[in-house]
This record gives sequence, structure tokens and C-alpha cells, in this order.
Amino acid sequence: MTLPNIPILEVSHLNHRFQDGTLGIDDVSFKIAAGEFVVVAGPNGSGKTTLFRHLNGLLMPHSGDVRVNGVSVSADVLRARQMVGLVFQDADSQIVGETVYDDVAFGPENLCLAPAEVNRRVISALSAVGLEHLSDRKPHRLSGGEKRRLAIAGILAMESQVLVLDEPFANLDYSGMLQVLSRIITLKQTGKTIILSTHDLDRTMGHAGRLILMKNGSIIQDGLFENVIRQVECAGLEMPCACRMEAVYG
Amino acid sequence: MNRPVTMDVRFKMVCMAVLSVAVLKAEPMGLICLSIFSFMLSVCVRLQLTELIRHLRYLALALIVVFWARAVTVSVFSGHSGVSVVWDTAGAVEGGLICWRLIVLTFLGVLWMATTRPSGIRTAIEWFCRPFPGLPGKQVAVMMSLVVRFLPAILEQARETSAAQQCRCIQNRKNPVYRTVKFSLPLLCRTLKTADQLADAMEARCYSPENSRPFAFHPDRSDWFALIGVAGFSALMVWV
Repeated sequence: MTLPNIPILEVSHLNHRFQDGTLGIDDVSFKIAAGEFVVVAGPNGSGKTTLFRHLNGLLMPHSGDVRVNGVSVSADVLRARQMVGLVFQDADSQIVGETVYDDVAFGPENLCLAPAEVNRRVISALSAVGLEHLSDRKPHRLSGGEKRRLAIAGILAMESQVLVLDEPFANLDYSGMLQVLSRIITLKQTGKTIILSTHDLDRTMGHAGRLILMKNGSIIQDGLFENVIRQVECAGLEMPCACRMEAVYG
Repeated sequence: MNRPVTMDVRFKMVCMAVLSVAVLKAEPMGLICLSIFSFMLSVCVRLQLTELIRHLRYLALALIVVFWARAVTVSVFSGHSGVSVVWDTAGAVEGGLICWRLIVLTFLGVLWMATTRPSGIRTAIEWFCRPFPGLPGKQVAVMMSLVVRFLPAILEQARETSAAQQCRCIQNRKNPVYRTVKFSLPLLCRTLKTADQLADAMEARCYSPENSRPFAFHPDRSDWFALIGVAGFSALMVWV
């Protein structure tokens, strides 16, 4: 349940320093409203993954605060992890179950839900990503796109309101990418808040409403996707083909 | 391979343990009965025997070695250059019996795996660990399930590491220690990194060793009947 007028996610003056003293996140602040589809883009090492790990309490800030629906992550980590589902870049290391069904059931079982409720959530999550026919399959036998969809199903089964996807299109072929993108768009249409990191902006153009550009741990641009997209080259990213053509041919 | 079976996993586990002891103790007459019983079970669960034999073909090599070790005695005479190989009939019978027992045991193990969900096995292990104080049942069960899940991934990583090193002519290095170090260190680092990522992923999905899930077991009278039947049958086979 989202409270009125409170952003579902609020990051204020977040700073994170790694053990070797390197600055990972440098004074990052932003707010995200429920139902938004936000793309966070930036070159390798710009702090996207570190930022995402703060959103559900895997990392704790050295200074600043992350609030989920008005409650600080550090005050209630379990609640934050339930509300903000994080899908990792490497699906292989995220999948823990011996079968597709068992993997999706892992999260709800950790929430100590009754077996009938776990079963209901697993079936619903698998059908949301189109994997219900593979429920008895061993995860290592799935294709890249199917593994990524399974990782998303694992988070959906926890009924998270915010889905955070770290490089969901990395190492996928065209068909795998389409499978994942179509599921993300469907989830957005059902009212989920989507935050997604990528350096391949072609994929999300026309779907995302907002673009945040990061460089060296800081946010350098934050605004409407169609406005910020024209400035991606200052973050060291490639401008989408459609934008370049528009610039050339008008 | 996983088929829905209504028998309670804990009862099934005890039945399998009792049958395994019977197989180890049984003499030829008992073994014949146990083999027929195992075969009937495989027909009941519609196990594909040709697929099973194909998967277990490497076991045949191990059985040949076991049989050969029992059936043949090799003597090397000091002071002479001769080696004598003697066929021992009693040893061959004993070797045959051991191989037979191993085949039936493997067959029972495959039947157990084919009819039980891994999550069921994990929960049963957790339940069996519960009465022992100091034994972290949940962690043991999760660790076992993770081993099952990650063994293929680690083997795949080992294959990739080996292939990448062969591309750079590791086979030209004759020192086995050098080759072992160069192979095992990257593999170990990669495995530890994967383990780290896995721990993060589990934490992100609210895993905690303190969480206790309700056990979803539904034993009924038929489970007790099956257990008593298997125990009686096994005792009879050992006695025969």
C-alpha cells in the first residue's frame, strides 16, 4: 500500500565509500513516485550497482538516507527487501533452487508464509513471466532469457512494489532481450515501479519515462527520458541510433 | 524425472534406509527378491530403464574393477621376472555378489531421486536434524540444496577454465603442480566470487537462518502401512 504524496523511494544525500577508500556514491539524491519507469544509465564503474544495493539494504550508507514508502531502510531492512526486489546482473548466481518452482518459492518461504500461499504466489509469478510450463526444469538447463525471467519471477513472488533490475539485457541475444523487455513492460502496465540500469538505451527508448545519468558515483542528469537522452554522450554513453538519425535528418 | 508421489518424504527416507541395509545384508535368495521388488517399484513409477542404463554406464566400469579385484589374484615373484595371475572362483562369486548389491542400491537411490522433489528431501533432512541440539538443521538442509544446485555450475566453470587454458597451450607445460595451481586458483577465486554473489542474492530475498518455515508433511495411515510392510519384508529377506 503506497501512502498518498509520499514517494515510494526517496534517496537523500547518499554517500558510500568502499573499504579501500574509493568513493562509490557521492551525494546522490532523488525521489521516485509509485508506478514510474526509471532508467539509470552510466558507464562501467559509475555507481549504478552500488546505488541499487542501497535501495534494499544490502549496503548501508555511510551518510545520507534511503527511504522506502517513508520508512528508512536502515530502520527496517526486512520490510525494504520485501518492498524493493533486486534482480542481479548475473542471473546464474541469483538462482538458488534445484528446480524453477523451488527457486521462485525461496523468497516467499523466507517470509514464513503458509505453504498454500507460497504455492499461489509461485504459480502467479511463473505465469507473469511465462515460465509456468517449465516449473519442474533444472535452472541450469534454461536459456539466458529464461534464467533472467526466472530471476524476475523470484522477486515477483515476494510481491515487491518496486522492481530494481541491474543490467537485465546484459549477455542476452535479441530474442532473449525481447522476452525480458516484454515482461518488464507488462509489469509496468500492472502498476509496478520499475528501476532499471543499462548502458544500452536503445532498448528502453519509448517505454521509460525518466532517465538518470550517473558518472563517477554522482548523478549528472535527471529528467524526462526524451530530454536527457540527448545528453548521454557527456556521461560517456552511446546515443541511441534513433536520436542520432533525428539529429542528422531532422 | 520428478513425479508427484503422495508418500510422506520422511517415511520414504526411512523405507529406503531399511531397504538399503537389507540389500547390504541379504544373501543371493534375498537379493533376488529385493531385485524383483525394486524392478516392480520402477515399473510402478514408470522409470525409463533405457535412459537409466545410459546415465549409469560409467558405473559399469567401476563394477568391473570391483569384480576383477575380487576374482583375480596377481602375484609377483621376487628374484624372478614372472607375474602370475590366478582366477579365484570363490572370490569371483563374492565379487559378483558385491556388484549385484551395488546395482540394487544404485537402483533404489535412483528410484528415490526420481520420485522425490529436492525441496521435499531438504525439508525432511531439516526435520530429522531437529531433535539433535546444536545441529543447525536448516543450514545443513540449505547447504545440501545449494550443493545440488551449484555442482553443475562449478563443473561448467571448471570446463571453461580448462578450455581457456588449453587455448593458451597449457598442455605444453609438463609440470603437474604448475598446471594444477594455474587451474585451481582461478577456479577457486571464481567459485568464491559466485558464492559471495549468491549470499547477497539470498539476503536480498529475505533469507535468514533464524527464519523457521512450517513443515508441510501430511502423513496418513498408508505411510505407516508402507513402512511396516517394508521393514517386515526387509527383515525376511535378511533372514532368508
